Amino acid sequence: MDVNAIVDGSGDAETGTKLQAGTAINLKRYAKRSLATAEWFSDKVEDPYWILDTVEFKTAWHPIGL
Amino acid sequence: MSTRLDVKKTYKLYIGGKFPRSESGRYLPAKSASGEHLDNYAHASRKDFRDAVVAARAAFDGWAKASAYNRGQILYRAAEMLQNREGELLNELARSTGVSPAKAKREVTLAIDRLVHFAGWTDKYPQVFGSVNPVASSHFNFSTPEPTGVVVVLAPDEPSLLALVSLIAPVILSGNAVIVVSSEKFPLPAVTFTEILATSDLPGGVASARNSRRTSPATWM
Repeated sequence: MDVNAIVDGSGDAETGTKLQAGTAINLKRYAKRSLATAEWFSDKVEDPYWILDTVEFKTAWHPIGL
Repeated sequence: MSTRLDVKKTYKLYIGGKFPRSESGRYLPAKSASGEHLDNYAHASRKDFRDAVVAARAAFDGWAKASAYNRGQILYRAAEMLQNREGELLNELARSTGVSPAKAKREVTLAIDRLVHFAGWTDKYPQVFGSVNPVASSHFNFSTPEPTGVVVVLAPDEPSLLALVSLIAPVILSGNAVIVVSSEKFPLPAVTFTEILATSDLPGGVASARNSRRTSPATWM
């Protein structure tokens, strides 16, 4: 379906494999967040790099002095 | 005299800012950790999932174009609403997952803090991750991060609320629209959370939640 990315926090290996196989065909991104229950309570989750998994970079050129 | 029967709530889906019943007309019983029947929740079908994708796609444009500051405000507002309705969530967590009140309190408090934390990133992540690139001609060259579009989030069973919030926040802060497949084992805290989100200025469709067996959406996507 018309989905751009999946963030998989389910920690379920079987689903993960199936999704990753699917991303090869129709999805752009697959990000895995496999954390133990206790880890969800730690600072590890306040990770700004998680933002990067669902952004794309756009590069713009702009002439100088015009 | 007959004994009074409690009204069992039927938790609905959250799609495009509305709370529809499942198109399939099917419901599943939500059970507590000890196996006691708590309430019912709508069993989302493939068509419901498609509806959520359509709603998310429609909401994406407006949300991605909202200013970073505004997105931050709205996420912060969601944290405020969460704080405000903490009691409801504490109760929901305690009865579904069977955790102690102290633990439930810790989870909800952390969920609020996570929202505030990520609300702060909305107008900072482009500076941190974007760059001005040196090029050989007389041009400025910038690389800036942009939201990718519609994102599906699969939430784990435990901690059912905290993990859900921590997974959604970094996705929507950059302007993505999100569809959440909530925990299969403990769906109720997630649905209560959507009822809170609905009152927090987040444009309808930016976050949608659906509950079903986790494996089925995996095959649909």
